[in-house]
Amino acid sequence: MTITIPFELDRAHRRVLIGGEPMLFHCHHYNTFLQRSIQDASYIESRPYLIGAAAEVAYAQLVRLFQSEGADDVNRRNELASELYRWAGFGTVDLSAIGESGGRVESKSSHYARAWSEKFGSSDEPVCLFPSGWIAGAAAAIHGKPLGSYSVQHTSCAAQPGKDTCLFEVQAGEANYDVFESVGAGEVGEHEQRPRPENNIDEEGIYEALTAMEIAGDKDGIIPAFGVYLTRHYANYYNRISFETLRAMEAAFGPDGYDATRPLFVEAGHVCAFNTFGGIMTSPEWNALIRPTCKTDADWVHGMVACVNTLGWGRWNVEELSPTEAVFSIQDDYESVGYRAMYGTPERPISFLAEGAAAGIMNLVYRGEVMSSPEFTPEYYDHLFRQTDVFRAEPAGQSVAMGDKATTIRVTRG
Amino acid sequence: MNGKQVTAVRTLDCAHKLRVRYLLPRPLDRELLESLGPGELRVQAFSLKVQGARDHLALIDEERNLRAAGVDGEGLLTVTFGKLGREAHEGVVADFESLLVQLLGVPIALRE
Repeated sequence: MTITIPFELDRAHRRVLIGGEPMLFHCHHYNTFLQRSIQDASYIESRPYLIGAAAEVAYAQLVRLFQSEGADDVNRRNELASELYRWAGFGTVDLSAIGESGGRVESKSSHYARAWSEKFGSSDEPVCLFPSGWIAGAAAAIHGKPLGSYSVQHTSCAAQPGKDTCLFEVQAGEANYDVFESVGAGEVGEHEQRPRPENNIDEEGIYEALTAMEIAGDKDGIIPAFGVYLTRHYANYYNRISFETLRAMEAAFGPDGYDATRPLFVEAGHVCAFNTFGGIMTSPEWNALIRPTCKTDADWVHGMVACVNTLGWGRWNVEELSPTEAVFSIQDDYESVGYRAMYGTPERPISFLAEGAAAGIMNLVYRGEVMSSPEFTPEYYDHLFRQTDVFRAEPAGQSVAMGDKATTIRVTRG
Repeated sequence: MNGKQVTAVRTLDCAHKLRVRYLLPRPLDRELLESLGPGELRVQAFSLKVQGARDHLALIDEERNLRAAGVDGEGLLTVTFGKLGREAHEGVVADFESLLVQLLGVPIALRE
């Protein structure tokens, strides 16, 4: 039986909701780099929320989906949940092994394990923390129990030497991870037209063209697209793990904690931009849809922003643009929407991924000559982000998280 | 386009899988791409959505872990052999290139 994953395309806010959870695209580079960056801060106990945040989103989403799709029995719920996991690009997982008291789950294909192995080599420890939590949350939803009703042990991982399957032992009982209540879609504002320099890019046409593409997991639950490997992931997962880390750092080190954390997450944004945006701008899809209409270097920036608007990150715009400087504005950026819903109003801007991504666009176009289809090597990364005259981003005075209508980011060179 | 050969430029994708850019002696079209199957042909009719855009063609072969894509009417075919966590099957590259040569009637020249 074919299962269609129902999703709601929110055009006004440039995002997608599935089972009430905002979902967005990120690549395997970002997923693994972010997790490792958080885990590298070994003085913070991150494992409980790296797993708990996944249980949070899986549970909330599946409970709503089961209700909306009329999935009343365990078999149907298992099928829908397993299919969602594959479709979203997380890999494959057989949830039918989980009974009311628990069970052993096998995953023969894992985005996280594959990505980790590829990017960092083999791991001594299992790395599939997101899948661990997702499975625990799914188990509770499938069996009609409250979130946190199952513990999960990730006992074996395909990222470990000699292993090709990930194993998870799920057991009914007290959760061995942090339990959060999902904030769901959060609150978004009324879209307003923002200024934009004249350009040759048909942003609306690109949005309609790309959102009509089927970008879904293959039989292995892997999404090869635009030269990278994507997941249709959870905004609230990224937000929870990022901001729990930020808050832990602030609790430990005061304001210095913010200053220490921001560069890590901005760097993750650089990694994302380098790989995902670089992949997009050198892809056959770009060559067909956008490149033919690019007449200037600035058009490449506007074209890339048009693509960003299909990722589910919020509504991006370029308000000022020159070869040496740009101002980006984002309405309802997913970091701000999530932070406000989860934690209220921050004291300082928290749109770190957006900062890194904005700087990445400018570095790719104006320093990296991405138009010449370069090879995305570590040396090229260093050239784009680690020289003295690179573009760097900083908050430009407005933040949705802090109550403004848009988040503004200024990117300057040198 | 060089009417006398296919020029192949070998690189790696971001998961270190072989990616080859084939500069074709004639424009890519649906018939040519489909002939390089088996696999599923996917057509994104971007020209209908954005003025000036071209259509995107892709051949997805999950059995052989091969993806071939290009712009309808242009001379570049990009093929990725393998994917994240999966190598291409042995012999797939040779088989693919052999078929390409047969269909186009010209040899493949590897450009370093």
